[in-house]
Amino acid sequence: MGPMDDLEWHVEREVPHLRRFAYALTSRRDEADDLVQDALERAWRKRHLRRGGALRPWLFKILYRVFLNGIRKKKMPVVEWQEGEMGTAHEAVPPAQDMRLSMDDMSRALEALPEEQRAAVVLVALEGVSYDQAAEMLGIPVNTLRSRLFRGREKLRELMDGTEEMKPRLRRVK
Amino acid sequence: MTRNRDITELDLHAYADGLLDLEPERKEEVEAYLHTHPDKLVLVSNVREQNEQIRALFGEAEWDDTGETARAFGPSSARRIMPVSFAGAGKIAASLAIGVVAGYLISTWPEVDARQNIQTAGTAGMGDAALHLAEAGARPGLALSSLAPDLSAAGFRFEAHEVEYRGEAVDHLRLRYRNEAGAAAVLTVAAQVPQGAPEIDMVQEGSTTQLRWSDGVFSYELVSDASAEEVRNLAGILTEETPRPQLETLPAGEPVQQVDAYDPQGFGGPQGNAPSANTAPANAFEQPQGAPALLPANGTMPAEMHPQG
Repeated sequence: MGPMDDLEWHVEREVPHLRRFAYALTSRRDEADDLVQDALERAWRKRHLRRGGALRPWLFKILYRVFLNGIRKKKMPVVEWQEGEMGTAHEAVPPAQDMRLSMDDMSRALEALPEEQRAAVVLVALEGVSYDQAAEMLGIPVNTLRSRLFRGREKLRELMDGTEEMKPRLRRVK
Repeated sequence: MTRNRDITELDLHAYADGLLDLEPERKEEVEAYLHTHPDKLVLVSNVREQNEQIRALFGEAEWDDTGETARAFGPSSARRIMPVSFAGAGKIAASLAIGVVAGYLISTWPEVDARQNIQTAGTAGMGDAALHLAEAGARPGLALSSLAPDLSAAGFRFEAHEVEYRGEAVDHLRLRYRNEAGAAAVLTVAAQVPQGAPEIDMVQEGSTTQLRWSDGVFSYELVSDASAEEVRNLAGILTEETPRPQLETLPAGEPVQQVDAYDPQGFGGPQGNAPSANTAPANAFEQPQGAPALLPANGTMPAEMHPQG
């Protein structure tokens, strides 16, 4: 097995982690797999620029960059609140005292977070990495990572306990 | 006793995330702090609960099946994608196929439209094949540049092309690109696939890198004096194109196989010595001194070079 084969083997082992993180970022499986594929193709093209070190942070950083680039290309206005299908925000959200901390609630709360906060929260939760490692994986300073993480968690808590009103699900519109 | 004095929100989050397991002393300090500040336990509890819910939400085992995704990293992705997704080359290949199958290519090409439409040069590399260098800038609506794969993402700009005929059928087509550093890349699309040819083959000789592949119908070759990495990038970009059109969807008489303008001297001069697809160095298309400049890739012929002008 040559060095390149070895690298491919190691990259393949990282794919489940990448797919999971991509799904956490996009909330859609098809988009997640597309994102991972784009990231891996970019990683292949840029592999000569990698200077040793752990493979996972490098791949995650690329994936997150590709994700952010995709958001910029979409320019975000493509995502709008659709209240018609799910009623008003009030109707869509049960009273706080009745809210069950279901997976669906967590999913919706994560979707309501700004992308950068969501990335920080899910990355630390899913990968169990240190804040320094998470910052490296997202390509941001560690202080920025901490700030996003703490703010994201606080907002997540507010959304989950009803302190902050949870909006209806996002629906992508053309 | 300094315990509890410097405990911050960061420490509490790190503790909740289990990041202090490798710092037992700090962990003890945080636990002591929590003992005296039970209100802060809520934060720790919330963080842990959130982490558990997130892990439960996104699971683990279900992501283990990497499927085709993992192949995106590595040349295997090229093997997987290339045969069906070389749109730019595919369009050209489709046009070649039409020319080969219909056999009408050159016969329907009004010579009056060409300034120097055919030159023949037998070369060792071509065997008995005749090399016809055609220029058809005056033919309206026939800009081959619109068919050439866009390699600008790799910094390569389409410069010119060359069509080679075997008899009256198109044998193969070459497209020349160049980057700002002056490195050339020549993409050759041929209508024959050598028996037993590997799907993809990369050879480096000196400063020249040659990448060959086939899709079972056409063979492709990319020769460049750019770095091997850049050549791979070029191939990677080609794979990102959309699937090529089906041949049967192209109107039988559509003249997509026609070529736009270039100066034949740019491909080796009027006396021949045209580059072989197998042996041409990447700089084989260097413009000879004193020769007219190649026409721009948009196929627009300057008035001073137009046969009628």
